[in-house]
Amino acid sequence: MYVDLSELEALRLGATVLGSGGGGDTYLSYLLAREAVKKHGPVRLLQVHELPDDALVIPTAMMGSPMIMNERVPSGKEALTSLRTVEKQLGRQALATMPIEAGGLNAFTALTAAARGGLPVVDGDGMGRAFPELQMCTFHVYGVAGSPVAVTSEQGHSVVIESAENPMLERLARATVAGMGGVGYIAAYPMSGKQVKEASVAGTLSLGIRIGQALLSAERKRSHPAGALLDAFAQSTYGQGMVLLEGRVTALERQRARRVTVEGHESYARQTLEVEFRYENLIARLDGRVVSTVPELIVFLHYETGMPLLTEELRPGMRVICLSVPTPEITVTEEALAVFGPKAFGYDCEFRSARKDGWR
Amino acid sequence: MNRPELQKAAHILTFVSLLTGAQGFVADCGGRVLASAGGYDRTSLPPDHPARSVLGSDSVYMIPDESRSVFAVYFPVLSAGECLGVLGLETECKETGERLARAGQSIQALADMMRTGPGGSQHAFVPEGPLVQAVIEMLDEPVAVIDATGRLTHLNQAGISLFGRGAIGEWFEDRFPGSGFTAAWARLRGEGKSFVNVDLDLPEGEYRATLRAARSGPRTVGVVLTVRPDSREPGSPGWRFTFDEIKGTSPAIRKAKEMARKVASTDSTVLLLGESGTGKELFARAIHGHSFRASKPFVAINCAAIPESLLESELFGYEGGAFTGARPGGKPGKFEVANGGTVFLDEIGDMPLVLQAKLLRVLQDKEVERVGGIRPVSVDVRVISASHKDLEELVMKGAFREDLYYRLAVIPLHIPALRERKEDLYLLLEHYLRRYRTLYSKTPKRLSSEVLKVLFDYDWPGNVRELENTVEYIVNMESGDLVTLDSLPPRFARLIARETTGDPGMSIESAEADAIRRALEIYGTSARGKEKAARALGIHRATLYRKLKKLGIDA
Repeated sequence: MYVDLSELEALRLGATVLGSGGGGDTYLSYLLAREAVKKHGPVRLLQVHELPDDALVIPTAMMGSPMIMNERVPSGKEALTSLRTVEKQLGRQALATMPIEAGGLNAFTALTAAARGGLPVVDGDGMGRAFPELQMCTFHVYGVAGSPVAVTSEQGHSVVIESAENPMLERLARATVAGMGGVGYIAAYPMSGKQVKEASVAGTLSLGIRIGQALLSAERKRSHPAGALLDAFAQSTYGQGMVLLEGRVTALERQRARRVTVEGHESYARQTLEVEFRYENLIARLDGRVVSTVPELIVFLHYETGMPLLTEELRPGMRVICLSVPTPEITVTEEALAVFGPKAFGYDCEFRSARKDGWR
Repeated sequence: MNRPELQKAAHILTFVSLLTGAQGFVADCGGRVLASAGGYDRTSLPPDHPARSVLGSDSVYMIPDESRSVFAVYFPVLSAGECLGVLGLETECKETGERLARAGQSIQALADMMRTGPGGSQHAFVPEGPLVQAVIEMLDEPVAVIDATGRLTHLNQAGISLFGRGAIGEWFEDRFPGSGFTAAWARLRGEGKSFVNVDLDLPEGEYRATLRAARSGPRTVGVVLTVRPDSREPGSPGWRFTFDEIKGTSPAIRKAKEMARKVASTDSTVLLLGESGTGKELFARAIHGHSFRASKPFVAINCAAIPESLLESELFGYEGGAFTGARPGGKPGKFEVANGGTVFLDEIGDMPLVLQAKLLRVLQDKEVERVGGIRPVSVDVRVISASHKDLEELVMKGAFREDLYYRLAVIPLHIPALRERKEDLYLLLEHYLRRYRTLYSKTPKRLSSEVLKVLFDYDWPGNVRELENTVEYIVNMESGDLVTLDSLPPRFARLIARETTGDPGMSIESAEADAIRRALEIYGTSARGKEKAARALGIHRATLYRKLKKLGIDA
């Protein structure tokens, strides 16, 4: 499978859905990927099982504030520069790159690097969604060393960081990014093909494309976007999700609590949904009862347009549909939940899936 | 119930207008919300509400209701002397109230319009309740009709025994809190589907239910809920199987699903061709589930699994005393049982020629004759058949009737083998891993790269069924979260050896051993199976035994 212009357009929506409210606005990085693909041709999508065990894969991502990224517009070659820097450190060439985070704008960072570097992209990532920290990924959970990390700024400055501890790497990389003005482009977690197979969430880029295509097709046919979205997830390793509530945003607290309250409409009348978020939606409570928690995807769709919404786009009075979608098995093991389950975000509750029976 | 009329009236008069049913439930309410009269929607009229005194009478009731500081008129909606409900107009303004009282005649005309509909058509306001009741009483399973506000309006007898008579008129969620009904309804509305299958937690236990939306244009006006005792088995009676249950996004499976979806709505015979374990029966069930016969039975029969001598009576039934040991009262065959629905004939290639002729008659005349019967019984069924054999070849050999073949294969549909859609392997693995670890309460699992390689290199002769069984085996065997080669079933031993020793496994000997193992997997290891396997391999039985010994194959 190749990622060409139409796939990129679909992925814009799909990546936003996978971002679960976070992951940043995809527009600018989508444009950068589009330009790269226009100039260098479509990017080959490598399935995880197609990788030789001894292949070298170097994942890439943007790190820092998406808002600042829009002010300090990158040229698009930063992530590839970081990848080449890591290659130099290791003395080996990468066979492919892949996203660390397939949710939000970072789905495109790896695609841009791949198009520019003439590399394929592995169809998968380390989160299956979006997370705020570098070590909140399956690569770290299943023992892949993040080091060496290369960080490149839009000005072309590069820094290489080495540490045996992934959380320390996150701290150092974040400090470096701050020094670069708030945004940097990294290459990290260099891995063997074997590690990719055992420690990544497979198929997330092609799923993002399929989700986007489903939403675009629902828009064209004027059919229900939530239904189209859930059908696309049902035919994936994520499984069958569900609509939690349809209603209107009645309260929105962004400062301390970071919580959005939605009052149900019509058949959801008399029900109240509260979703707590940081950058991404993390916990959903229906009438005070926790029904879905991170790493499950909690996604808001705009009621009128059917398009996915970032938490920063939510406004009081807005009509929304809120969905919850389970995530692949690799993201809900005990080790994984210790790193990015609800407790890792400081909530005193166990992981909970909205789907009672989990598999149907 | 003539909502537009009511809305129009409310708009012109700027009052609260209200329309109730014969029992005093507010069917519709429009206009400005009065402080004193608000909240009519979703309620039953209070017992002391003045409009109640109009119910069941034929008189007009007008009242300056000082206790509620409301001026109101209430008119009965009458049909053949029977009171179907009340039309009420209420206002807080005294002058308007007086004008209302003077406009009595026009309002009675409006009430008449409620009954007759615009233009005087007599059918606009037929009393729907008894009709609905009559319809649902036809069904044996519990049925509940629920209106747009979530209130139970009708139950059939089975429904009354499950939900209790007192549930009528109550909101489902209030009566059965935590049953999951609201979430199910939310799904029905939210996903824009016409029906959903859900689990309902009722005090008596967990029930599998189907919710079907009643829509009027874009509006959901209610929902019909049918319940059956919980059964996890997809395909159990009443479970509506959909194409969503067939997992896969590869071009091959998408094409098959798309084509099956297209033919589902027609009534043509479908012949499903594909290897064993590809999911032919799932396709048959999904086609049935998407056809107009969905609410009728789906009856599957495997022609190869039933002895020849019994197949005829199984398919067509028998009369009492037709043969020794026959039930005195006779027994209907599968075709009669499936009347109105779909009959799925699996392994049709194994049907004896004599029965093929009889089957052809059923297809042509839509009549079956029981064994030992005199009169034919007319049946209306759709026939979906399936075979893993090449039927055209059987036709050429004379083992299958040509005329029957063309009757059955109006729409031939190829179901791809798993090795033709390896893109789906990962999704299917994950799907079954989740299903079985949930079923057996095990922890989530991921696959090691060696296991992934073995599973992707494997040919999957048993297709998805084999894959499902393999995953079930893995979930049982693997205690950790990373699935290793040790937890694969023994039949993967050769591939595992290749994986661990680097032996490419390409020698003539290993190819021979492979072919023999495959043949035994297909035909079984019994003496008869070995004979068949030897024939399929093109060697003598004695040669097969010798090779088994030489290659050390344990069979």
